[in-house]
Amino acid sequence: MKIQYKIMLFFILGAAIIIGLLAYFFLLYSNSVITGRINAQLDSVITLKENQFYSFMISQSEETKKLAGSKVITDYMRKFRGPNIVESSINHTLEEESEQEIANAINDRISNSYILSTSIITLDGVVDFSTRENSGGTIKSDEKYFIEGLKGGYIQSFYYNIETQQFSITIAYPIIDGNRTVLGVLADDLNLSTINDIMAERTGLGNTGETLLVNNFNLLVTKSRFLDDVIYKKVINTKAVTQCLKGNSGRIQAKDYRGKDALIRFEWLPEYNTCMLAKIDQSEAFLPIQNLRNIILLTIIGAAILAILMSWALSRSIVIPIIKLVDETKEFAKGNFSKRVDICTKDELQILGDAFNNAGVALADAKSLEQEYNKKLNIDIDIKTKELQARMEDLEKVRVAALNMMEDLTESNKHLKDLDQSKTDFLNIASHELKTPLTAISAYIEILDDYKGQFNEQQLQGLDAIKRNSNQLKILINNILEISRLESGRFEINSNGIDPAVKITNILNNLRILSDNKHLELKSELNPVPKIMTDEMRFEEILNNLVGNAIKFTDKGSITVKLERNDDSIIVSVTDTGVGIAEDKIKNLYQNFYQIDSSISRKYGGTGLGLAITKKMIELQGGKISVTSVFGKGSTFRFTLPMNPKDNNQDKDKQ
Amino acid sequence: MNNINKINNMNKINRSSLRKKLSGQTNTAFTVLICFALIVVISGCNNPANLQHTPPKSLENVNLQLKWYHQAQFAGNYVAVEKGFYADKGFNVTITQLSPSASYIDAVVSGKALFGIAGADEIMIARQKGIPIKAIAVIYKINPVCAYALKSSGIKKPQDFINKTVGLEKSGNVQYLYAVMMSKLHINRSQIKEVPIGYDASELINGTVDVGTGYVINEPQSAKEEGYDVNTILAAEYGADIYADVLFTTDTTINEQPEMVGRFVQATLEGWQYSIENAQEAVNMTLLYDKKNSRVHEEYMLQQSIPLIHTGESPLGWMDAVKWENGQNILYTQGLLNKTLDVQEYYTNTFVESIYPNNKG
Repeated sequence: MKIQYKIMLFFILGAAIIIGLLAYFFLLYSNSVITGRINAQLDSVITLKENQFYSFMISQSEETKKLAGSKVITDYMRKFRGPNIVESSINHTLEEESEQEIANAINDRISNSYILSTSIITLDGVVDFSTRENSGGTIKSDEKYFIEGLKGGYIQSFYYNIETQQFSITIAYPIIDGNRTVLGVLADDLNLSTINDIMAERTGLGNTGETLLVNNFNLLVTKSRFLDDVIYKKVINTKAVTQCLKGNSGRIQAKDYRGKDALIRFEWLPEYNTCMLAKIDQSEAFLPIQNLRNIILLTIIGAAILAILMSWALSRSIVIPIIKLVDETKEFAKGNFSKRVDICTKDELQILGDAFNNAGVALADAKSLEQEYNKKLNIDIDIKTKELQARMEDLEKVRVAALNMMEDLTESNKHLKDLDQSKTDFLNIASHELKTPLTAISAYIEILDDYKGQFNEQQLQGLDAIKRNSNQLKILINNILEISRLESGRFEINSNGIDPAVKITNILNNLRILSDNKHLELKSELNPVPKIMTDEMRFEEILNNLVGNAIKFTDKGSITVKLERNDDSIIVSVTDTGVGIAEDKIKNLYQNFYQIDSSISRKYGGTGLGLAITKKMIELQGGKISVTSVFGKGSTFRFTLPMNPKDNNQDKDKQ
Repeated sequence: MNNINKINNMNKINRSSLRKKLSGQTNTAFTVLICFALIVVISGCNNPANLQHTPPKSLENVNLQLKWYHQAQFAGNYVAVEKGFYADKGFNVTITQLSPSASYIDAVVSGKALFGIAGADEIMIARQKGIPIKAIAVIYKINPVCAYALKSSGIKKPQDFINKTVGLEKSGNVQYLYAVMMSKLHINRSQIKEVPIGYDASELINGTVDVGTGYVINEPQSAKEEGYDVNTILAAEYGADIYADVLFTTDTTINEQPEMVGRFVQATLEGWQYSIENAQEAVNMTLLYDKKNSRVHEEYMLQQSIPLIHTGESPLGWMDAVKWENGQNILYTQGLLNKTLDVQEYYTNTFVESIYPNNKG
C-alpha cells in the first residue's frame, strides 16, 4: 500500500479511535446524568401528586368522618332511625324538622366541596336520605362501602356506581351514637374530577410525560394524555403496572400502554389499592443525548476531514521527494547520470536527495573514465584485429597452398597407384606369358632327361645348365606371379591350425642341406606355443624365404630360428651372423625386385621378390615383420602372426 | 541484483498480507454490519403488534349456544370471532342464537354445542335437577332486570307502584327479582295490579300498564325509540341482584378438557375487553350477526350493558362466592330452589383465576 494511504489510514484510525472512545464515554456519562435527572424529576412528580392525592383523600375522609359524627346526624339517626325505634312512635314533625336541618347542612356542604352526593343509610342498607334525588329508598346492603362502613371508616375506590352510572369513589363512615352503637352509615360520593385534575397536571413532564392511576384490576382510572376515551375502559398489563400491582414501588425503562419506550416511575398506594405512575417517553428524555450524539457525529466528521487533510499534507511531503528520488534512480539505471533532484524539505529526505545527487556526480565521473578506457581498448582491439586478419590471410594462403599440394599428392598418388597396378598387371601377364613357354621347356627337359644316358659330358652339362636355369626361371616366374597376385589382391588365404614348432623343425630339416654345405650351424629355440590358425603353405614359404635368405647371406656362423608366444600372437625370429644390412637400405627392403645393390643378384642369386612376398603374406594375416641389422655383423628378421587372425576374405572358424 | 529481488519479494509479501489483513478486517466489518442490519430488521418484524394474529394450523370447530337472538347483549362473542381472538386460541366458533324449538341448556348438555350462555338462576335450577352443567365465567355481574315508566307518569321508585298497574314479563328472571325487590322494600303488592306483558314496551306505550318490566339494556330503549322518555328502576339497586348471563359448559368438558376450556374463556373475555374499549367496532361486529335491530338500538344496548359487565370491582368474568350465595338465597326464598347447596356446585372460578394470576378476588 502506498505510504500516502498508510499515513492517512493511521491518522484516521487514530482519530476515530480516540474520538470514538471519548464520544462513547461522554455519551455514557451524559446518559447517566440525564437518566438521573429524569428519575429525580419523576420522583418529585410522584411525591408531589401522591401528597396531593393523599391529602385530598385524607381531608375528604376527615370531612365524611366529621359529618358522620356530627350532632345533627347522630341525633337524627338515634331519634328517628335507631334500631329499636318503632315507626308509630315517631314524631313526624320533629322528624321533618330534623330532615330539613340535615338537608340544609349537607346541601351547603356539597356546594362548597368535592362531594358529588351524600347518603345516609340505615342499618338495613336502605338509603334513608340522599342528596341525589333517585337514591332515596335504594338498597345498598350489598355494597362493600356499606358492609365495611358499618365497621369503620372505609373508602371504596374506583368502582362503577350503577345509580350514577359512572365510576365513583365512596367514603363511608359509621354513624355511631354515644353508646358506641352503630346506627347507620354515612356515605360520600367523591367528585373524581379533582383527582383527574391532580393527575392531569403536567408541569415538569415535558411533551410526552403524564401521570396515571391504575386500580388493582389493571383498569386505567384517570385520563390518558394520548388516547381519547380510555378512562375506566382500558386494561393495562405493562411491566410497570404488573410490578406495581404486586405491591412494589420503583422505576423501569420499558414499553408503556401505547407500546412506546418510556421511563416509568411507579408507586403503589396500598390504602387505595391503586398504582400511581409517572412516565415520560424515552425519545423525549434522551433528546438532549440525541442532540449531543448529532453534535458528536458532526465533530467526528469534522475531525475525520481534518485528519484526512493533515495526513494528506504530511504524506505528500514525504512521498513527493521519494518519487523524485525514484525518478532519479531510474535515470541512473538507464545510465543517465546527469539527472539531479531538488528536495528542499529540510529533513532527512533532503539529505538523501543531496546524497543521491553526489552519487550522480561520482557515477558520471566513473562513466567518463570508463568511456576513455573503452576508447583505448577499442583502438587496441582494432590493431590486434588487423594483425589477426593479416595472419588469417597468410593462413589462408598456406591453406590454399596445402590444398594444392594435396591435389598434387593425390594426383601423384593416383599416378603411383596406377603405376603399381600396371606393374602388377605387367608382372601377371608377363609371368603368365613367361610361364607358358617355360612349361614347354620343362616338358622338353623331361624328355631330354630321359635320354640322359645317351648324352656326352658336354651335353650332360648343357642339360644340367638348362635344367638349372629353367628351374630358376620357373622359381622366378612363380615368385613374380605370387607377388603379383598378392599385390593385386587375387589370392586366397586358407586358415588351418598348425603347430608352428613342428613346421619350423620340418623346414629347418629341409634346409639343413644348404646350411651344411656352407658349414653353417642351423639352430632353433622353440618355446611352447599353441596351435595357430594360419595359411600352412604360406607359413612354409615365409620361413623358407627368411631362413633361405639367412643361409644365403651368411658365410660363417649360425642361423637361429626362435619361436615364442606373445599373448595372442607368435613371434618368430630368424637371426643370422651374415653380412647385415646398412641402415639406409632397410627401408627399401621389401620393394619388389629390390636387392641391396645389383651386385647381390650376381653373388647371391635371387630375384629380390622373396621379402616382398613374405611381408605381404605376413601382413595379410594380421602380422608384422621387422628387421634389425648391423652391417657386417648379422641381421635378425622378426615377424609376428596372430593365433586367431580375423581375416576379411574368409570367415572360417575352425577352432 | 539478488538483494533487490529479495526486497521486492518482501514488499510483495508485506503488501499482500496487509491487503489480506485489511480485506479481512473489511470483511469482518461487512459481516458485522450485515448481521446487525438483519437483526434490526428481524426484531422490527417481531414487533408485538405484528405477532398478534398467528393462528395455529388447524382450528377446532366449536358451537356456542346463545340464550336469545343475536344482539349486542352478546357483543363480546361476536368480537372474539371477528377479531380472531377465538382463532388465536385455536377455535373456529359458530355462534348459534336461540332456536324457538330447543332449549339452549339442552343444546349444551346433548353436545350439540360445546359452550352456552345462560342465566345464573337457570344454572342453579338445572343443577338441582341433576343436569351436569357449571358456570365458568360471569358476563353480566349486575342483573339487568328493571322496571320502567314513562317520565310523564312521575313514577320514579317502586314505592310509586302502589295503586298502579305493573306489567310483568312472563319468563326470565323478571318475576322473582320483582318479587324480591318488593319484599325488600316491604311494599304491599296487594295494592298493585300486576298483569303479564310481552317482551317489548308496547303495553306501556299504549297505556295498558303504568309500569313495564324488562331488561334495562333493551325495553326502555324501545320506548325511547318510539319517542317516549322513561325512568328506569334497576332491581339491583333495591337489593334484588343476581348474576345474569354466565358462560357455561358440562362437567365432562370441564373435567376432560380443562386446558381447552381455559383458552375459550380467555378468548371470550378478550372479546369483551375489546368491546369495552372499542364500543363502536363491537357494534359493527354485532350488526354482522343481528340483521333485525338498528345500529342505534345496538349502541344503546351495549352502552347499558358494559357497566353491568365491567364494574371495576373485580376482573372481567370473575365470580364471587358471596354473589352466588346471595343469588341462591333469593331463588330459595322465592321457592325456585328446593334446597341450598354449596355454591361451588354451580360454578368454578379456576379458569378465570388462571387468566388473572395476580388477583385473588
